[in-house]
Amino acid sequence: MSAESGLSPRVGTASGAEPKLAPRLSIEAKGLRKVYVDPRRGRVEALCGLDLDCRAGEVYGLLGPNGAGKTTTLRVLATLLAPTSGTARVDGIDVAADPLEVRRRIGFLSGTTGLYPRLTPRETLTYFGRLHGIEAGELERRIDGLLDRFGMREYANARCEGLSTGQRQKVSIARAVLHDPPVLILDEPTTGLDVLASSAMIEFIDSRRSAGTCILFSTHVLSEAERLCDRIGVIFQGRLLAVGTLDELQQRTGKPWLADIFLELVRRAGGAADVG
Amino acid sequence: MSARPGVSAFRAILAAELLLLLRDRRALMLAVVLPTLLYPLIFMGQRWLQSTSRRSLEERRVHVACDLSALDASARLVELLEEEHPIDVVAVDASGLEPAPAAITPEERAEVARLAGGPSGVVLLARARAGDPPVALQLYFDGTNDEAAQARRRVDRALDRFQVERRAELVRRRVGSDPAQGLAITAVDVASPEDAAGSRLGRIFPILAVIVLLSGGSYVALSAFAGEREAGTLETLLVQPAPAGSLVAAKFTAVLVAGSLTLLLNAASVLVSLHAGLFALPGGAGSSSAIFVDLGRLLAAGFFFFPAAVLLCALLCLAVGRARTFREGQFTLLPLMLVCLVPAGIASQDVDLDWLLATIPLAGPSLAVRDALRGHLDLPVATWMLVANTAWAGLALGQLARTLDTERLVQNEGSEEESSQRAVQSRYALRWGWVAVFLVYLVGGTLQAWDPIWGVALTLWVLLPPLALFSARGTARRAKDTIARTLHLVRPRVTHAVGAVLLAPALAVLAKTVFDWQRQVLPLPSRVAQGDLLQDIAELPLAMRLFLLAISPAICEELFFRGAVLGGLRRDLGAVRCLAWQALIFGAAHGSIYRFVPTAILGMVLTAVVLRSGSLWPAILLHATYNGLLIVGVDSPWIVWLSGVGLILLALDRKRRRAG
Amino acid sequence: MRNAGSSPAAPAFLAATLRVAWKELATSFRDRQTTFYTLVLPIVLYPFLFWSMIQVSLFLEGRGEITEVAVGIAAPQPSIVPPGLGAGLEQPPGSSREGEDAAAEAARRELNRVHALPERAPLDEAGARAWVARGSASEAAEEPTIRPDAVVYVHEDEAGVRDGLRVLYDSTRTDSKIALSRITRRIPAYATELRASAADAADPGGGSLEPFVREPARNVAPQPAIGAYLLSTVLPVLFVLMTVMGAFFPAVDLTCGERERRTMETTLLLPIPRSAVHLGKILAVCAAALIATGLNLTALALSAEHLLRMLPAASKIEVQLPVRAMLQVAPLLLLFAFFVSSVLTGISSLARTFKEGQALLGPVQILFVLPGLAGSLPGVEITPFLASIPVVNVVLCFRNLLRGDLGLLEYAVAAASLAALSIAAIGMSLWLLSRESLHLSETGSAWTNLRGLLLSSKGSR
Repeated sequence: MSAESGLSPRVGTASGAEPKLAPRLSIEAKGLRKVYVDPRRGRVEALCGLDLDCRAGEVYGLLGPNGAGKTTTLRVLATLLAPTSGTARVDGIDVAADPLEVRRRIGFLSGTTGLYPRLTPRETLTYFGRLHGIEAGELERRIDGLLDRFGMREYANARCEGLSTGQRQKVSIARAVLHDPPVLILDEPTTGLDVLASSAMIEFIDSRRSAGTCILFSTHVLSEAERLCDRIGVIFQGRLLAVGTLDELQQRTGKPWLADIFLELVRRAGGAADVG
Repeated sequence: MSARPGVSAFRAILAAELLLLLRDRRALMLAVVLPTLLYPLIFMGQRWLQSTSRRSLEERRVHVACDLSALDASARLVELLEEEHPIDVVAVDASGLEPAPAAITPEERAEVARLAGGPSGVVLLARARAGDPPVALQLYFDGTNDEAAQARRRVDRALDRFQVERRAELVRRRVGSDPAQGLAITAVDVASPEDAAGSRLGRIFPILAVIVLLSGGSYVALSAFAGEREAGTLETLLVQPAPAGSLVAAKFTAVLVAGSLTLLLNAASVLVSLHAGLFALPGGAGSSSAIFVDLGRLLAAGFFFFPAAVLLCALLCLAVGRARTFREGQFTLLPLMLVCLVPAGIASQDVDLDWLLATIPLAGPSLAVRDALRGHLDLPVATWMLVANTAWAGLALGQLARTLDTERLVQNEGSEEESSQRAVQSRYALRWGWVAVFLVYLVGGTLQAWDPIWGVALTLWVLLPPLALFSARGTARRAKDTIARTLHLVRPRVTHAVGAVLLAPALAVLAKTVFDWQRQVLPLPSRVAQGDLLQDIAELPLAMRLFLLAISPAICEELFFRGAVLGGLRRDLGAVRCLAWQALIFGAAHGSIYRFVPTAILGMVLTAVVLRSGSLWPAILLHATYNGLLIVGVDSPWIVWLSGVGLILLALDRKRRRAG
Repeated sequence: MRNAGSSPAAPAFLAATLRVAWKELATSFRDRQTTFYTLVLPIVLYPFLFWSMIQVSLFLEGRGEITEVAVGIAAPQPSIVPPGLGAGLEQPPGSSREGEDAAAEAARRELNRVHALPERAPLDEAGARAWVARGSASEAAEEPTIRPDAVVYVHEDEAGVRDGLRVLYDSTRTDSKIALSRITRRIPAYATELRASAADAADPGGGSLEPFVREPARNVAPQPAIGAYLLSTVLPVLFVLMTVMGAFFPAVDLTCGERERRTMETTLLLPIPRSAVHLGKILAVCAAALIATGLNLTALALSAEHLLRMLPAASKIEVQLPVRAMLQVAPLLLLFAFFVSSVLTGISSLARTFKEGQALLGPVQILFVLPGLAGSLPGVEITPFLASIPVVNVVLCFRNLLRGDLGLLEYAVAAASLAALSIAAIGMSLWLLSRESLHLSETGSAWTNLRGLLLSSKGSR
């Protein structure tokens, strides 16, 4: 999963580093549509032709109000849902054609991705590791490494149901990166976390980016988005309204703060028929 | 003024609970639709199945091979056999069949199989024998074959009639007439149809009522307590200016209403099925006639059952109230239902309501309901039953009010492990106690059945001490104390030790009085009273008997019950509750309702001695002396006065060894 | 930390399934309550139930013994009353046993007492009935008398000859029923005594009045076969009941419980096919059910043995475990457990919450239990047709194997039917589980969800 050559030049990153040779697309979605039948609400069109592209070593933030389609997008990419039409590829593999292979290459984390309450962190990691096909010796090494890295040693053998929220979050992260995936998909990862825990999360995302992982995450916390994201996508009513770095979005809407950018884009979309 | 907010809160919460219930489609379906359909279907199905299977067996052709050459008037017997049609009676020559004196030999088996022509046939053989009468009739059958069993039944019927005829004939021959002629018995039931129907209904009604009440009320109980806690709405409710007492009372009332309504609907469905003749109640002649029970009796039955209903709902709330989730609450339901079914089932037995039974919760109301339905209610006893059972219900409600205080209701966080830290010592001690009860019953019972003497010895010395040590070790570790001190193995004060020993005579006399009283109300069947267990032991020399029945129990039982178990209980519970639990567990450990009361009393006294003196040794001494006196016998009454001295010694010396 | 090559080899389907099954099973038993229910409860329950039964039966027996009943004697004319009937009724049966000393005999006489009231004759039958029912000998209750618990009414035919004894009793009164049973036992002994004394008076030394001795019937079946037969009447139904009950809770816990614990998504992210996950759950449920059943049956067997020793009537029965039959039936039982697990797990996967899952499975349990009961009725014989009906076939095959006569055809048909139905159940539930609306919508009853499921699009594998 190392960076390979031969793709389009990359636009300037948020941290202002010099442009490198663009890595290939880790996530690629074209014309993604998702329609489903809800027993109560009837036919719901969650995504109406979404295009998405994220590269390795990039942090891509997905912003949008509730019901905009963020969660649906992430879940389609994580193979939890199947697209009605359109294609999505993760690390070059079509999500509809070979979801198993896709799952091997992503690490997914969300507020609702719970831990098995009666397993200990070590057992959880062992379980997932074995199912990913990691060899026993290698698995031990990796688990020990993760336990040290996240400082989980002291509660590694306590049942997950007895852990605090912050501790659980660390275990979830460890689970998500245990198999060293090239792509990380995170759905509102800092929801419900206190200051210490969410800063730990941010630091973690940063570190993965430096290691070359493609990270796609959705959030409500605009300050995080400002700080972390190389590129930001604003999604509304199943469509991407705008994609770009913070600077680009500022120029486009003429607003300095992300919150105002957001509101401006939504306002424009509310009036116009076909935007983005 | 202070009662007002409580009452209005009560009404508001009750109304809300009932409204939630009515809006719950599933609950309504379970309570209304299901029983209305279920009972008629079950009854019809059961009747059809029974009659089908019975009919099919009675219509089968059976095969009887007989060799009656040694019997007089055998032709008459064959005639009677052939009346049990459809039947094949075949004459064979069974002279080759030699009945072995004891167990069946393979040769016999082979010969019978040959004569009977297969496993479904039976062989009837008349043999000449020495002595008077000169003939013996023997039937061979294969017990694992349904048709052979059927054949055997028919042959027995024919033989019965034949025997009666022949007896009469023999007497007539010798005496000229049969003095015992015309003494055949026919039983005639003079009970009125209403009484009979009511009686049959009354036998199953309490069991049905317990099941239905618990199932129907459980749904509401679970939603009202565990469900609200899970949904997080309980906290919101508690913040309202309504006293927690009203809250609990309202929820309890909702459970009672729901359970009672379910019961009424189910009962109505059963009654309608009975009225339509769909069901033949057990104990009846299987008639398909309609059974109609008088409304007045039904109302009376409902009235007498009411305290039991209150008690059951209170128990339900107690069981479910502490659960944090729906699922956790569910677990307690099945054991609760089974435990409640046992006393309720007593109504199906042939026992009358008397003063003792009226005092037992659930058993008393069940019997009263049955008596009300069959029209033979003994009013004074029934009144006492109402009083006693209302007291039990009140006790349960009081416990409910106490346990479901605000703090308990709010505790919805943390895992099971966190909440299990409360009163951990006593809980573990109780668990060990129940484990011992169970093991003594199963393992000890098996050992004693194998060999009475060794069984008792092993149960006492091999079973109890390790349990005591394990339990005490846990307690000691948690309390950071030594095992010896947990077991109260400290040196007692001399006054306490002497005082305890002196209590023994009074206790022994009390025990005898209790046993005598028990003989009136709780008599042991004669067959068991001459138990052969004690026979073996009674033949031992006195010293051995004292060791086995006085010293060993004293040491081992005290080590476990008053040492380990009390050591744990004492750290969390007050004296009264320690006494109550000790009485219950010690009584239960002796495995029989006949010994329960005396041993419970003994347990309480011993517990009091240990609590007072802080040491186990006085209790051991008391127990040994008490048992010894029971073996040897207490005759002189003045010895009882010694106990007075003992009591004074114990009471006055308040100093005691610190047991930690 | 990155691997240069491709992703590590994926675990084989079977290995993945087994791993999931093991994890589900281990976590199920880590739950204190599941352990309690599956392990502790059966071990404690049966001894408790049997102990209660023993105590109640001892209590009733003891009570019955000290109850004294009053029996009245009535006849249309005094002459037809047999002599000494009252004394005969008061005599306990089997008097003066050998080797019994005076004290023991006196003690025995104190029990099961019958007090014969003075005869009332002439009295018609209606009067006798009134005497039992109300305690007065006529319709109008003028003279209060002791109300007898039963009345022996000596009946006469048209010629005025005694032709039978009618025992008038009230089935709604306990003492009356006790009186009836004592009368029924004592009258034949009294009759024999009458005959014996008359014969001795008229013709002393004339021989026995019994035409023949009736030896106890001899059961030619060998002891193991008898034991197996007894087992075959209860064991099949018990097995079915216990398997269904044992599978119930794990099935709900592993499916809806997972939804409630919010680990559904986590499981869906596993890099193994959904079918492996589902199959793993079914295997875990199956294992749990078998463990529970095994423990239940063991505990039941041990307590029953204890019970048999305590009760008088049953003490001569010896039951040995028929090992060969059990080995023969084991494959079928495993298939059945698997079938039950597939169906229950499949159905409960449709439910959203624990509550709903239990509500769904409750009726399903009944659907399993009723055919089992039907199959256990005596007189039902196994046919190839019956062998294809799920629960009935297990009960019948088990029963017949214990009795030692099952045809190979029926066995094969039963096995094939169970296997086929299991596969169908798994396939159906996998198909339903792959439907997405299960994951998307959070509310709705099971029925609307089912409709939604059938209408919704296919999800990922």
